[in-house]
Amino acid sequence: MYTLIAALLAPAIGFGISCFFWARILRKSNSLGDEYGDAEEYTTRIEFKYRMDRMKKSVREGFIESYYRRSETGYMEPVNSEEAHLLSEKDLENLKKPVKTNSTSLLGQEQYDFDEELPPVDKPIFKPLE
Amino acid sequence: MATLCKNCGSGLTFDPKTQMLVCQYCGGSFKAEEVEAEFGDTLEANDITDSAQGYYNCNIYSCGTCGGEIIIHGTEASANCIYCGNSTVVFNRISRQKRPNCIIPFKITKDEALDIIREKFNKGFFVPKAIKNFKAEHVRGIYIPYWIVDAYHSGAVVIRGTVKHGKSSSTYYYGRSGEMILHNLPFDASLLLADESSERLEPFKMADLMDFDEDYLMGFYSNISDVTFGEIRRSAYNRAVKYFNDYALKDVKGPSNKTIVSSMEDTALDYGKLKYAMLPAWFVTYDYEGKHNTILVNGQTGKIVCGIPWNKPLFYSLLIGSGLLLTVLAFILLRTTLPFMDTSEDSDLGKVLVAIGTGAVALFVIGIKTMGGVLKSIRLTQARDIFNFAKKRQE
Repeated sequence: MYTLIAALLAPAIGFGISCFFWARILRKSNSLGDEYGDAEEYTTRIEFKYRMDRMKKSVREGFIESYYRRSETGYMEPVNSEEAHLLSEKDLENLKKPVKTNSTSLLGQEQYDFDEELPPVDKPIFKPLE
Repeated sequence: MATLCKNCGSGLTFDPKTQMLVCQYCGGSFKAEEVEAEFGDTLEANDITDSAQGYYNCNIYSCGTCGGEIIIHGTEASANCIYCGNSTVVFNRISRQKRPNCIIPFKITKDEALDIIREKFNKGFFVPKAIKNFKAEHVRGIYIPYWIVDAYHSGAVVIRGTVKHGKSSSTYYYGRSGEMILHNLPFDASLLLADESSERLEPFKMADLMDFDEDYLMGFYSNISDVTFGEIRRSAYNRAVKYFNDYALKDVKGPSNKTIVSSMEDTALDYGKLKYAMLPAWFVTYDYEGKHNTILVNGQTGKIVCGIPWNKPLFYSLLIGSGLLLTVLAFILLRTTLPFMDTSEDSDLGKVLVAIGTGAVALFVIGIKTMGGVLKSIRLTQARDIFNFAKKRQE
């Protein structure tokens, strides 16, 4: 019995470790510069305005809905006791509509060919956070 | 297009080492701004730069084999295609191109780029000897067109994770919503260069960005921006989402097996800070087993991007040999210890065996995935694959 178990597990262990080890050496040796641009190189600000931890149920639609409602009303302070709730499909469709923004500074979403005119460059599309 | 030497009338080229324009014949050297100010009247007639309109004239060459288009500046007499390596490159036309806003001039010289490659290749355990002593077929310095953007991203994500309580575990959900500002995010603007290759060339040190001056292009190739506004937006969105999600996952501390199960996001570009820039890279081509391989070297930092064909007999013999050896050792160890582990009444031998087996299989799978990553890297290095990828994107 013990011999059978050992005979079954030993090849898995042996070739598992061997494959892992030599593949790592191979990557270091033969794949140069395979890492991509690091987010921290380009991020000047990251801020989580609202957090919910250890929810026992997936109230994801409720969470996202409450975030986007706050977005429209100027990022109200989060209310920790706020209860998220599941939404109907109709509500979800409404949520997917674009968030209201200052329309005078917002440019079109359609494809734009750079060979022709560039979009105006003197109007930022957003106001950076203070 | 060529800027001529004041002393002898020969073409000048930009020297990355001295950051000056030098004459290969008389040895004269000049600062880029000096050349423009002092002998602007020596420019050729077809080199009239309409900088006020935001355009400049370029000599466009096209490859008869793959169709790739490149711009050649200065005194380059012969050229090979940077994408497929063939020498069927012919002058096509003079084109009026959008003038870049800024440029990072080459800092790494051609010889330095080759030295960096040779040093890395010589350290590679599985690099075949023929490649360690590789002979570069072509070494070309190319300015790659990039769009550099600032972006604002807002998002909300829900993350699922597992928390262990002793022997049991529970699934919990976590929400993160917020904003992120990205600054100087570069996107290559050439369809012929695979995005994965250009992203791997990063980071560029954007503090070195200078106002564009054609004289920095002398002796180098450059490429044309041929992407659309929509593609820039999509690329910016994809990267912003990836970065935001990574930050959100890092912000949730405690649970294991964290997965994003739902999200909503929006990315806006700041057009006031949009920049069209030329960033430097060396393209080094060599042939191995009948295939063209193109190594990219960041012309500013010296970072190498390439996958190198490996010594397969050596790799597989070590893999199988050490696998067999470890199998024998594992068998002896298990056969010896299993009877002792199974003696106590409340023994969890079954669970221990399952954990060992799962761990071994997981290591094997990670190893196979890592090998897949190396293969992907090699595929990107094979010039024809870069071309095929570009072609697919153009269709």
